[in-house]
Amino acid sequence: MARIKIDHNNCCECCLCEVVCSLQYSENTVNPKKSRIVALFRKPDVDTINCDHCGNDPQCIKACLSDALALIGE
Amino acid sequence: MHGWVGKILRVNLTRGDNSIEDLDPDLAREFIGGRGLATKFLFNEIDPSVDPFSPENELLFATGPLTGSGAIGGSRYMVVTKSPLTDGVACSNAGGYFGPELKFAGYDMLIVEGKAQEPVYLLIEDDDVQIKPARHLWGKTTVETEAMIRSEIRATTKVRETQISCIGPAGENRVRIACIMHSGHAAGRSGVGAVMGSKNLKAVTIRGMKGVTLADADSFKKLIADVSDKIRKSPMLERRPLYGTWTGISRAYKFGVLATKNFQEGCIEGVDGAEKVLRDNFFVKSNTCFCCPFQEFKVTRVTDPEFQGEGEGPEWESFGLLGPDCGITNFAAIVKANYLCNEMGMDTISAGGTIACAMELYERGFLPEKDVGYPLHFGDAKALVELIGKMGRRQGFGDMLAEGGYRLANKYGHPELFMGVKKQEFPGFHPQGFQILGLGYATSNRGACHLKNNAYYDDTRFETAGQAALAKTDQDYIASIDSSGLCHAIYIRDFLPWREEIVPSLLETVTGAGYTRENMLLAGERIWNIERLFNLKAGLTAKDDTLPKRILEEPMPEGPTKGQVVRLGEMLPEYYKARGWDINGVPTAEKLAELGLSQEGGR
Repeated sequence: MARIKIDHNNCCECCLCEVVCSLQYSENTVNPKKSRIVALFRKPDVDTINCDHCGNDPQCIKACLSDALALIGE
Repeated sequence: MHGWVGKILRVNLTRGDNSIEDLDPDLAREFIGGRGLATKFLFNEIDPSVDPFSPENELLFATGPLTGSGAIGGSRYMVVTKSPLTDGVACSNAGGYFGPELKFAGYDMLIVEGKAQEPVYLLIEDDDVQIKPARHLWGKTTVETEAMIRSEIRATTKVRETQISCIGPAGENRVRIACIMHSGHAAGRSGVGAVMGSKNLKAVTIRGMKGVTLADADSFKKLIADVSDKIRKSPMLERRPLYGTWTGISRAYKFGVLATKNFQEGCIEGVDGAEKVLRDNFFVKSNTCFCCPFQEFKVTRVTDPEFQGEGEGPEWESFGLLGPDCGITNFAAIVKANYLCNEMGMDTISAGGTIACAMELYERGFLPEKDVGYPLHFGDAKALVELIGKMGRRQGFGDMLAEGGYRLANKYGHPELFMGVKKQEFPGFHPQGFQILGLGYATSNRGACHLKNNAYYDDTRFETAGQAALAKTDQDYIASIDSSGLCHAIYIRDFLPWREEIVPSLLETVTGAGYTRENMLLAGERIWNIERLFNLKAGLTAKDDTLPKRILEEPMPEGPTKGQVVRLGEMLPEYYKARGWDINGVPTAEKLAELGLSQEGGR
């Protein structure tokens, strides 16, 4: 199964991924707490929750300026 | 409202209660937020002549409409109060995650009034606002305080971490240069931490689960993609994560404008290429702020047994004042001194400037050795580190240093040896190397400051013609940036060519309040003038728009800036004119009417 992997060596915890993710799901509202991807306060086991990869075009990966995100697996 | 969340949280520590008010949309549009809106509230609510340490003074934590909006660099919050250092208006800006969290809790601004009887801290979780006892935190460093609060509240929370701003011993002891720290980020200047301490408020802890709505999310997303694209192509994305602000040290060295030995000189051997030395020998990792990919924030470690430690920084200005300005080029000692300032909760710039002033007083024989307890020569790294600890706790000679350089130099009868403006110490660039910088320092409303006027260019650095108008426009632009919640470092230095187009566009897509380049700059001018009005009513005058005699009359002795003084007299009258102020530096009735400040001017 495909999933989004955070490379914590590259992630600078700027949360831009959380911002664009929350904008996908909550209408016109930036709310990192509602983001499917969790970048801040590194949680090694959980990278994304209930994430549908934005229909195979993950907005978080596009937004990341630190090359920390990748879609991996089938 | 969009961008703004439309609520203000007001906490009265004397009564121990709180209330929530609506934010007036017209006021928000006119003063933007952050520095502007908070200063307007301060102006309306306190008597500018009040004692800064009295319960009548207020302490405001203010976000801008772009804080937490997802705009790149939209991480900032501003602490506004009456400064115990300058006796004028203070506005200290910090990044990290605290500002966005305040917004996510549902507040544009937190206003703290009165004074608690016992030490307390504020615990804000969305609508739940509690005043908690903090006796057990009193006396703790900023690092210890954050850790203790985190472990205290972790037991009761299921959601992710909380953001904390707090003071250290310096704020508690009303050290006039105390700052407010948030996870290594400092709302640094003008003694805002001492006001927090005077209110017996140790920390503000925030957790928010709400969001920030955008007026035009589609346009906003396109704008952010555009900004991101420019960032990807910018060499800054490579350099900033490597060196942060450290490249400023080499720049200052190159132009011979590095604050050295209490501004007697402009360069010192042993600091060229400092960014590489810091990177190779002290760097541990880079951190960043909310929605910023530049990772300027450096975590470092000192292994030298004499100055061992780990912590944040130093930024370049801190390095300049704690190092070369004190005649010190021992990097380990400078980094250690920076850690101690952070732990004590003390402004690194003013701390360095004050110690440098003491060193010159000593070397010239005006400060007796018995007062310090030992000789205090320029270049004494051990004394630097020891005195910072003493200053934070007001022990021994530290008690005198805690008053800042202006009061120190006055006490020993030589006010001319204080290097600063409006009782606040200079930052790291020596103003003799850039005429416009001299004008900017002299006219800054919060006293000497490197963040109120950034329009200094290498090729026109010795010119005075035309600098007044340039400084005025840049000050207005920066006032609007500070108020928007955006970060200086991105929107001032790197994006210079297109900043005036992008910032109003960000404001407009987020708020939908009708922002254009013109009315944004007008708002900046309004903000600059309300600060000026506050200062005038607090007792400051045109006489305070000046520089120390050394900067005006003693030419730089050596280096690429050799022979220069700041020719302030050639620029200041032109500056007042550009501002629409009279020859006494007082805004004219016409100017105030143009800015919608007639009522404030007449108060």
